[in-house]
Amino acid sequence: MKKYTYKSILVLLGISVLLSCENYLDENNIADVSAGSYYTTSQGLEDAVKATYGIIKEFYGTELGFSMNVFGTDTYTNGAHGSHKYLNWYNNQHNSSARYFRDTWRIMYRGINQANAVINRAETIEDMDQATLNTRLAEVRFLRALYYFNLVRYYGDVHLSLEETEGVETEANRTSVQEVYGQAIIPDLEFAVSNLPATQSEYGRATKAVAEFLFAKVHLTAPQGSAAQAAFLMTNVINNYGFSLLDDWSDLWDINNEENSEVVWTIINSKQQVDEGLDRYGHRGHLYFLFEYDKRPGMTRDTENGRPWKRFRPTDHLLSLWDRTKDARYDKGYKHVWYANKPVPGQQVGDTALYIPGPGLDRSGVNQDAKWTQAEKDAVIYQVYTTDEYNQVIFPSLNKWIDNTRPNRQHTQGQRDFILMRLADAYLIRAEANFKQGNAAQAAEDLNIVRRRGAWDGEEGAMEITAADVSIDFILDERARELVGEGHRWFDLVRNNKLVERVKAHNLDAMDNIQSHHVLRPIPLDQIDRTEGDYPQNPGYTQ
Amino acid sequence: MPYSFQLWYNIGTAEVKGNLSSGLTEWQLQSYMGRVNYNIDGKYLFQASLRADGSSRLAEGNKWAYFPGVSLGWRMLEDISPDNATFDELKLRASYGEVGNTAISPYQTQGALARAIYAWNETPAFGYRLNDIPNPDLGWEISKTIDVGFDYSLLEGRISGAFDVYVTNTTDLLLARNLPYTSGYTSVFQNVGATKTNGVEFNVNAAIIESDKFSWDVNLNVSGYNEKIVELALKDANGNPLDDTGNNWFIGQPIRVFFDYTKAGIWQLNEAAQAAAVQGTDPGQIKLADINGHGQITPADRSVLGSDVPDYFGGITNTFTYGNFDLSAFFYFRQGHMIRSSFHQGNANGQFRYNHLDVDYWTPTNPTNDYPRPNFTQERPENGSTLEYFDGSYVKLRNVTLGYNFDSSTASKLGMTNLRAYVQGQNLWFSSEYDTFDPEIGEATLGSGTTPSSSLWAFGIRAGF
Repeated sequence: MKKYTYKSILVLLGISVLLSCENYLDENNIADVSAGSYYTTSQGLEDAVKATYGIIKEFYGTELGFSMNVFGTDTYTNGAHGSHKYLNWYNNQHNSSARYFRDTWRIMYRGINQANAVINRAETIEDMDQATLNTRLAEVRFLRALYYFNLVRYYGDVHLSLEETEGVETEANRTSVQEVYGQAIIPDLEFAVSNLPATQSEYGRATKAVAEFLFAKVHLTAPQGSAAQAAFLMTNVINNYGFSLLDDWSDLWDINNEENSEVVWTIINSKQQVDEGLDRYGHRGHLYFLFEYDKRPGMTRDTENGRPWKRFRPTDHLLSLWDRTKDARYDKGYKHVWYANKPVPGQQVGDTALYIPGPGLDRSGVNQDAKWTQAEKDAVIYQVYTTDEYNQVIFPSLNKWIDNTRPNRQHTQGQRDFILMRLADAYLIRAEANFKQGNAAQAAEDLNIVRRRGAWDGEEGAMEITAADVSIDFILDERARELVGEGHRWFDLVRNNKLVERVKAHNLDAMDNIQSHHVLRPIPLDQIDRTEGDYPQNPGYTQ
Repeated sequence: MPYSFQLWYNIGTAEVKGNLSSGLTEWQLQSYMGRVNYNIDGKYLFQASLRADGSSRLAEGNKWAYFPGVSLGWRMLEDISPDNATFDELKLRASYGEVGNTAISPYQTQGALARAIYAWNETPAFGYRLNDIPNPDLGWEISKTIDVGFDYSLLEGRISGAFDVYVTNTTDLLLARNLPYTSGYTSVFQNVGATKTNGVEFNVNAAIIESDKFSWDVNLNVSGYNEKIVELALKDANGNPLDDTGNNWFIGQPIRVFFDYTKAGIWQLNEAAQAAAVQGTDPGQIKLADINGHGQITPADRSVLGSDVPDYFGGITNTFTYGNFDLSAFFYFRQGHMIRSSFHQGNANGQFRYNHLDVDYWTPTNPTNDYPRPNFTQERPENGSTLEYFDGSYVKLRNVTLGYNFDSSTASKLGMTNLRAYVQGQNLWFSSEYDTFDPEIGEATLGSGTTPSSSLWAFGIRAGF
């Protein structure tokens, strides 16, 4: 039996109109701001400028920034710990997948895009006076030059863009080093030098001296650079702004004396921001140069002595550079005695627990290695580590960055400003520039200024050298003595074509691996994978 | 506060950090929907629906989309075999439907800024840096599914279940796409491509034994699907889609794949020259497979190792009753997918500074191919990521319950209407090639911080009054 009946018809119509307003689906971001609305105001532009400074903190003062420049050189090799020893070893892990090559690349381009945004958008800002706007533009162009300068020094030919990225950007170019200097770094620094004021009311902003300092280094590095210009610019830095060397080299590392007459420019870390953890980066140099004191008798880790991450270990070559009978900089830069902070039998808290007498002849001319025979060591209650006992966990510990003001012993973000430019470096760069122009006498004069200041009291005369002593190797050695651990070394060696030669001669962990192509870092694999079309790898890198 | 209009909605951006934070994220979905049901004699079933959705998260002009759906059903038994004694129900179904996905964070079309930390000496100088790249083209991700299936029931309901076959075509996939770092950004939300998914689902409930004293019921369901990318934003000169290696998206593969080098073993002492030439390494280190056979390890030797899409998965529940006792056990299985266990790199790094898995590591006198040589200064082995991939297939006993229902006479003596005592166990057993811990954690990647599932015993009494 067939029966077709309409049993049910059900129509359900649900209409939900919460608001009749036509703008119901418009987004209104209250808690955060977007570039399109905020960067169009003077306050927004000021904040965009500050951000261009802020991005740089991810590099300078972190393990990344130190690792990229400290080890893998003639002066530093690796300690026991750390995931980035490939930077020292130049082995097969020094490849395009390595994290630090990717991170460096990413940070620099983030900074560049931020700078581009400020520069592009500044044209439409109306509520800012022209003088302030010009100063801010000059600051940002200085920063963009610094970001690009780092990129070409690490990677060679790189992507060049002077425009803020808008929309989905998956293409990238490969612009020659010379063009990156010619189209970005040099014009940016010319603009910065012409437009930056001699002083800024806010400590930490770039000034004319800061731009001249960087420009001088650029002139010594760029293929189209001029040593004469480098010397001229550094002369401006030295003469025009009232900078002066501190009398005592130790005072440079006094954490209560960070803002001093020798500082040309630092990347700022604020005590309040690093302690509260608002600043996740801070100055972390206090972690990396220390030996494993905390596992030795009488010692436990504390804030005073630091958190020893033992990343960087000095090479024998570095330790041989100071003539300690005249030059105070080893003794003032490295720590000798650790005082017991944990009672052990026969030893009180506060007694000497560990002693690293250091290399060569000491200040009074005594060879400590010869003096501390096994019998002598056995006769004292404390531990003595002579040169023959140095290894990946025991080594002289640089105390430039010690930060005993951290809120606790594990706190990684230190409050020190990261000194990127100081007057002694200006003298050394001018010496290098003068020497490259064939003027060894003037080079010797600048070297002597630095050397006299580094001398023990009364040994100033003995530290002086003559024009005949000056060579690129001498200048590099002097830079090591003065600037050790400050994050310039890898660049210094590459700039003077000495990286491979000196690493082969002095870095036991790298000498067998380093090859000529290692003067450039590999292009990060992520960049290659993500770029539409082909993004070529630097020569020599297969992985 | 850096700008006045944010009011109290992001107090974490204040210059002084307390332990305070606040946030406000708003999004709107506006929908209209209509549905029609129609059936003839309860035999021929018809349903159609249409909805229109507008999402605030998407770009101007792309906010609205229409999603139609239609389904047909035919209870066929009466028409084809009205006197069939075996079957009680046989229903054929077919449907087509579209659904939309707008599951991205709000404000992606605007590009929010992020706070950058700086200071002028001790004076805070917070800035705002570019963070999200604005994408003015964001639109709906739309999935169109055709499903054909039937429901069945036979032997007076003792066996019943359903069987479905479906194809889903998803277009304008909304995903975070990695960008080259030279853009100044890391990723962007974009409508990046299309996938095609074929799937099968089957389930059956069967009362295998039914007697006064003893019964045995089984419930089984098995599903499987095959997902593949058919289109991506990258195209060659002829408009054919190209693999997007930077995102690990490959034509013909599922969206989430594991793409890496392959561990071929450990370089042995007699292979020193080869290890140096092919991979630039030494005996004792992980040997990578030369996938493209060019005699040297390069990024071209990375390949798709597997995906988190299983071949098939499902569950089976057996329930037995005997007198007042009942026993029920639920097994779950998932077969043929890969998992990544960074647990096996972090806890088998050969450094032995912290707790370490008990692994067979290489030494000159132990020429194993399992784990590379230990080294006390090594935070992670060379190419250690290749140690992280495992076949994630497993069978596990998720739940087992043994119960006893007291007679109502016993219960009523205690003043209750019913009384049941039971013992129940969860996650008591699993079987997997990945035997470190229960691989069912709901994620494709198991990290060192992953908490394994806990086994649980419960004893209980349930009383009704």
